[in-house]
Amino acid sequence: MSFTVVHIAATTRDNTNRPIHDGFVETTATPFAYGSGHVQPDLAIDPGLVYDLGLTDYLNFLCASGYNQQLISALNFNRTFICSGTHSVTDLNYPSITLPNLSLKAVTIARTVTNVGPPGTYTATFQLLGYNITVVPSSLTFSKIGEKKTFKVTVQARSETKRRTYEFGELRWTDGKHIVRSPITVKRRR
Amino acid sequence: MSSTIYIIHTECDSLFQPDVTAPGVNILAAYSEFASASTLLTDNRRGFKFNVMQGTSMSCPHVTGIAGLIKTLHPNWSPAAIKSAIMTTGAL
Repeated sequence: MSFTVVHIAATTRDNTNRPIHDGFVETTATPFAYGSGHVQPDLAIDPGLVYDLGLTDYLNFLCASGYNQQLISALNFNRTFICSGTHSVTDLNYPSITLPNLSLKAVTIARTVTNVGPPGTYTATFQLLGYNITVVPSSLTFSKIGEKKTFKVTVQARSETKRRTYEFGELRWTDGKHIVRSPITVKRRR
Repeated sequence: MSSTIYIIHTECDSLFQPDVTAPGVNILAAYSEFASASTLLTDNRRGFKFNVMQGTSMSCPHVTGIAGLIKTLHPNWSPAAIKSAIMTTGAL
């Protein structure tokens, strides 16, 4: 029992029960330092859902980042790769969501999750203080392994939202057994 | 050096942050028997097979080991799927 109590209390604290701090400067650490948290091997072998990426996704990310076709083709094992369609850097199917350049205009990003567990329904919970945030759809049902579902996250700064400072939140998909958690990191610039 | 983790302050506008952290302070690590205990050339204490070390070089093998574990259990998962599994199950 005492172990459980200590464990819960220890969430963002180190082994001296102080808030986790930066390794070089004596400031309290943020998700930029500890990311989505400490690695958990027993949970990592059964994540429920994964954010998958293939070669084409990375090459489209380079297209959206403004790299020229010659450079991108060099990274495609010297096979010509033509940038086509509209790709946004923030749509890279990465397991965390970072939007460093928000204004009062709402920004919508897409993510696709692949089911790697049993069939089931996942529901979204999210929080991001000081911003408006929505996830559509907020429920995803999977009937088999390998099935993919896409959702959209819309984030908007409010007029009173602080500028030029990062705010940290999170998005969780859960089926009651698995928790698929992504850190959300946003900054309002204008 | 009392923190359970060792981290590098990376507040930049990278879309690849945040990711994860792993133990990196006071880690018992394999060590060169030719190196001195303190790594200083003037230190004559040598011949240790292990030493207590710090840094992201200590964190990295923890994550590598987990990646290997996942690849063994799920051989057809892509590198991105493995990284996703590690990131989305991290604990704060």
